Amino acid sequence: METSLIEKLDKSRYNLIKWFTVGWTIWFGGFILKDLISNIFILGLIILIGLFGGILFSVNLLRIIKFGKIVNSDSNLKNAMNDELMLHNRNKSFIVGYWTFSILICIFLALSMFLDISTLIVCEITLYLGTLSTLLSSLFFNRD
Amino acid sequence: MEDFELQNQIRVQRAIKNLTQEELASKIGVTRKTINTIENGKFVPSTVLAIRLARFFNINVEELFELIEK
Repeated sequence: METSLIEKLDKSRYNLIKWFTVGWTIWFGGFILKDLISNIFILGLIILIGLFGGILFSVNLLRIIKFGKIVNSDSNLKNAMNDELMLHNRNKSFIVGYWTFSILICIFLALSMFLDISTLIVCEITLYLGTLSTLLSSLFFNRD
Repeated sequence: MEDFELQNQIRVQRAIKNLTQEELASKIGVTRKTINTIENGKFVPSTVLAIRLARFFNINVEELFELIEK
């Protein structure tokens, strides 16, 4: 049986988000770690892996933009790809991201009473984990 | 709503029309996952989608969906 266009696009969307998440994890993870490590060999390795993650992230970001343009060019396709289950799962993912942000801010706030934490690190870690939790929960909710 | 369960006849109606979940999804204009989750009772559709499904099968909404008290 031939697979429908909606099904094909739904599968490609899932794969795009999956590789985008992998790219984000490697690239931004390396970006945070590079400020915390002083060993030149490990630092070089992290930069190299981070660069690979950065390429993966950028390529998938461009593919997502291109995918969005294809889907938005046809109103029936746009409605089908943004159906109520998809919107429901998207809302749930954003709620997960919101709680991750809130809990991280609470943790850092509590830590700041005892430690002197750099604002840059706080922002980087909050952005990293907040985005990662949103992406991972999106993959979880939209799994087959 | 915890005391109620929404049961549906989508699987039966699909079998009558000899349609797969993917074919039904394509005809209604949603993804296969949406049909699958509604059919398995994991997702409660909106009134609009429930009516569209009932119209497609040429039956009343209450014949397709039944609210059962637990």
